[in-house]
Amino acid sequence: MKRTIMIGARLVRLVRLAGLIALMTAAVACGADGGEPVTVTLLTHSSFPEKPDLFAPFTERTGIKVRVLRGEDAGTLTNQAVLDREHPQGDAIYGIDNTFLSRALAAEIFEVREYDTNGVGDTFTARLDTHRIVPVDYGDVCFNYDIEWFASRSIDPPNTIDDLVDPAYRGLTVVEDPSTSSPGLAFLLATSVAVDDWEKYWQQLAANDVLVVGDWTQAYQVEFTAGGGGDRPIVLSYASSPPADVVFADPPRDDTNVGVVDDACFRQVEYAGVLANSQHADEAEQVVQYMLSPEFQEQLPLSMFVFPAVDEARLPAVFEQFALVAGDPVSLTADEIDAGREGLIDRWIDIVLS
Amino acid sequence: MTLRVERVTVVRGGSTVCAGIDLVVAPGETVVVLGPSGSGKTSLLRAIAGLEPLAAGRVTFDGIDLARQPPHLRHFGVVFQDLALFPHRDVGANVGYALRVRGIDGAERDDRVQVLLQQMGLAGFARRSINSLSGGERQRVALARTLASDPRLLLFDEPLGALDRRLRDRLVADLRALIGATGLPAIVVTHDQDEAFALADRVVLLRDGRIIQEGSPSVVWSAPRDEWVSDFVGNPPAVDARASDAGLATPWGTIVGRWPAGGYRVVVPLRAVSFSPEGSWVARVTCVRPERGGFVVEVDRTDRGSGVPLLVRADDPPATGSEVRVAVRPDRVLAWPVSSVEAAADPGAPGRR
Amino acid sequence: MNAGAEVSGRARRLAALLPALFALVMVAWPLAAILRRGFAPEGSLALDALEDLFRSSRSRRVIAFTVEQAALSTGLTLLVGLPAAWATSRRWRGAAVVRALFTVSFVLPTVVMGIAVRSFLDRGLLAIVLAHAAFNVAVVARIVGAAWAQLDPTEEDAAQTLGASPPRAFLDVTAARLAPSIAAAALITFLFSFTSFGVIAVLGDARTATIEIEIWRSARTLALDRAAALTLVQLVVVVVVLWLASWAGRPNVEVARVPQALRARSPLLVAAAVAPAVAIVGLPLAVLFFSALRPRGSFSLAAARALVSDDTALAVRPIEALGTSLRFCAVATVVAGVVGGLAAFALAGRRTRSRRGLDAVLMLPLGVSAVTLGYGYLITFDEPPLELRAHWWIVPLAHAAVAVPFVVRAVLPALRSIDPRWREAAGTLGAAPSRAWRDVDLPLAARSFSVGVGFAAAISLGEFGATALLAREGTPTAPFAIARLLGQPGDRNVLGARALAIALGALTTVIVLLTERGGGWANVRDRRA
Repeated sequence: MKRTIMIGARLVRLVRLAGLIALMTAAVACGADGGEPVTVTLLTHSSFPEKPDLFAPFTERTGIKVRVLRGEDAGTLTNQAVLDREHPQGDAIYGIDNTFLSRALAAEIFEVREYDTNGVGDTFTARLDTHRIVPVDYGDVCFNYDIEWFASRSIDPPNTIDDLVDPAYRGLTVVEDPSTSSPGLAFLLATSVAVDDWEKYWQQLAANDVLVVGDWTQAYQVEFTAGGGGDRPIVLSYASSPPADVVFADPPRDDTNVGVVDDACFRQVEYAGVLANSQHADEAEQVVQYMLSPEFQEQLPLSMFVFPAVDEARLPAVFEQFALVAGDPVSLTADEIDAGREGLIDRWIDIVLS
Repeated sequence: MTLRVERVTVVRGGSTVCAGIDLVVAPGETVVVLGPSGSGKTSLLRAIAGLEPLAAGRVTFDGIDLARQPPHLRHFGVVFQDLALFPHRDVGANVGYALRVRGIDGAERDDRVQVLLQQMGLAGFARRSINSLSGGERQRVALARTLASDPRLLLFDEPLGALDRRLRDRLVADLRALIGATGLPAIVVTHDQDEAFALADRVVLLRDGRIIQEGSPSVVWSAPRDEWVSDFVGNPPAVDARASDAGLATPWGTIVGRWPAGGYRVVVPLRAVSFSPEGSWVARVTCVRPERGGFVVEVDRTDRGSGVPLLVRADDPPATGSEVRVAVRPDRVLAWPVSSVEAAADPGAPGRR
Repeated sequence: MNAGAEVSGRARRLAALLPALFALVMVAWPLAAILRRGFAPEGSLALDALEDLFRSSRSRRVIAFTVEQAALSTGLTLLVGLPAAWATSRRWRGAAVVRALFTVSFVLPTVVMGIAVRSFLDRGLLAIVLAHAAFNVAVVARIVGAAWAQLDPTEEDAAQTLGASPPRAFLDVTAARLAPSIAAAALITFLFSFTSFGVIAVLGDARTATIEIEIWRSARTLALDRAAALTLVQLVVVVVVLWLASWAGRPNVEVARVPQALRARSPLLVAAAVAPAVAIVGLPLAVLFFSALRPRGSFSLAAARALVSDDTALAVRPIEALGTSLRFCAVATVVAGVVGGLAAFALAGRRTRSRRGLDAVLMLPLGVSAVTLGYGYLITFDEPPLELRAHWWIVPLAHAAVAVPFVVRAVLPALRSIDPRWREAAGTLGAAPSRAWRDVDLPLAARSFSVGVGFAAAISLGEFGATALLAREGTPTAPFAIARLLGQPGDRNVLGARALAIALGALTTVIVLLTERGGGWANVRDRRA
């Protein structure tokens, strides 16, 4: 016994040091928590805007602060929430879309609450368990093209997605990887419905030198000619990109430079809910409810370039003028999506990423 | 203050390395355990120090059985074969270690360290690192370190083994003086006969774990018990011989004298031969080599062609190839009867006239 | 009768308790959980996951690519590293600096080197191979260099006097003697490249997915059985490689101290030999440095500002991520130091079967990837009795599990090489066995311990694989933050990533260089004792 105790004066010192550190960090951790006012942590994806603070009026009115934690995309957001179900990293979550909803619901990550969804459009609340989640906004995933690029070369811009596999449009398109990007996945799902042989379509698209990138930011803000000064004038994006182009034009412009290919568009709906096992469920419910208020909803078009799900919310003028609502968007039920999603992605990876 | 080793047996890795060793070291006596490598001498030393368990027998000091005492309580000073100086400490820390262990610190310890270093001729070495020392200096540091622990018995394992010949010769005298000055009993273990004879009050010859011969250096040297001992202490190699009424018939010639008839193994040591005009043997010089302040001459009996040269010491050697006369003193010739039964029945002195 | 001052087996057995507990809870249990989830989710063995894996052409391609990039990385590393090994085995002015450079490049966080290479190369196979070479040149230089330094050059001379031409003499003598260490270095490089995560995450794209990335992706997308199957494949490859390595001759991965080396004859030759390696390591770092200091062609402190900016894609300021990394590092280093130190002490005795078992389990994280371990933690510590998931401690514990093998590997050889006669000498001078151990073994092991602990700190600071799975959004570590910032466009994000990478790299360098020398300081203190 004596020997072991004497084995390391040094080791004893180290253990003491460890204890000290543990004590300090526990103190820090404890200090960070507790006390008024309550801060609700909202988990969301990377598209959620940092400025302006969309929750500022809410905080002013209720005193509840909202801390926004941005993850990556809807897919990882959902998966992480499922993985963290017992110990969620936040109190509320926003940004899970219809392509991943069934997984989230099946994993029972949401807490049952009473939400007032009167203002929300009926198409969105149909067959939805609105005790757990509420639809907040929607957007149509469609191809965009650079109007000026095609005009200056006197080439007709693409009309349908079949044009994209035409050799005339070789090397002009950039899409997102469906395994890491929600618009990417949306389009893949769309092709599985809208095209006779989706595998053949993608083979042709791959043969036509399509560029695959990880996420929308990379595609639109880096590779798209009109968005980031890249080489590709056709990008998989949203039907609401045209007004965005006008808003962010520098120098200012009256007209949009971004066109929309209204074919095989996929309607994406985004949802919000309170996470089970949250410490501040009541306050989180208030935050989610606030996201259905016209005040919040009217901020959505110009901050995230999506359409509000609440009918009452007015659209900004630039939206009325330039945004497109897809004529005949593809829509699938949550179960259908769930059933086919993984296999689809795996097959896609085999076909395109080889 | 007497060390008694009684029927000690040490077993290592399944084989017996020391078998039934009996040894007594009287106060102030230096005993040298001499033997080739593998003879068990280091194991014996370690067993006495308590670093090796005894398979049988016991070790007592001052009448007290040491079985209960671990090495750090025995107060035996050990100087290891490669000195085992602490590499991560300087000279002063090494020498002062025993004092530190005993709780003697600060100025008192520094003083005692200084005194010891001075005695060793290493004044001012206290801050030097071990790596910067020469072989002889390291030797003395090791000694100083051991003496600092105030031992009641000194144990040396090949103390001069790592040094070259010249240094060894110089230091062996110093070592003897030092051991004498302490007045402590000491056991020195070595394979070098010169070292043994220079240091020993008594020599104990060890072979394969057993004591073959014991006695004062001059006795062991002039009267080795058998051929093996003779060879080990540095005599020329043995030859076959036959004794008859005429004398001892060796390859070089017949040595006049009376030996019981029979076969013998014979050694003619250097002290038995000399050049003399009255010598009865005529021989031719085949080789002259300088050695130890003189010369050793190899001669061969011209009319015999014996093959094994005879060695003669001389201060003024004759020229190579010249003819010489050689005289042999029969009383100094070593001869052991060949029969093993006889050899066992007659331990001790070889056959004599 | 007390046989010398031998440290009792009892003390060692007692010391083995904590490491054994750690190994069981932090390594064996999570791994078992993964394998069970993958292969026996219902309780009985179901190898569907493995079948699916091999049937999928994508998976086969991933496995093939992982092997391919590892092989190419090893090739480039050997090409550049072998001349450097020769150079570092000789004495010349500046050798110490070059050796320090290699030490730094080895312990540099993978994302730092990744982002450095990114500053002048696009994502892709070339970038990956280059980054791997930059790391592993140090491994080759150390292992082969140490062996080379111990070769007797007169053997080659002897071969020449026997009629062999100089190239032939070189091949027959030097190359043949170096073969085991070259093989060892090559296999280790292959292993590191094979299980590499940080480099691939930063420098790879959709086409360059490796097994490790796939495990991570599968864990993220909740394809747990796929992740388990991939883990098994990886384990098998690692075991094979390690077996090959032991068959090639027990390699010592240690910081082998170069003995009194021969003077190099031609400085020009040395420069030529060491230049490619120095270039591969130094160039990316230099580019990183300059691209952060001169973002738009002129010197500016924009990078430093980005470090403390609120406006990046992170939830916190980049510099806070550094603080988080330091906090985790402190905890992880202490845990790894204690567990690793005790384990080395426990294992330094005779090799019994149970000791070898403990050794093997503690070494597992070396072969199993950090991602796998992190994933194991994810599913194991989600519920009682050990609900560590939400607690920030889980990240440093994962770091410690990955670092313990390195601490053990640093300390154990030192403990084993201590001449027992020093302890015996101390004993004969009056020191009781425990005192002797304290006065002899401890100070001599201190240097290696300090090196091992420095290593553990570097590993924790740079750890990316397990952290990527376990870290919570609100408290990112520095590597995590760098990777996240790099994925977002925008100057501030990129600058922030670069600045953070430089800060992280500098911190790691300082810690490692301090601890490599730190042992020496402990000795100085002891001398006055």
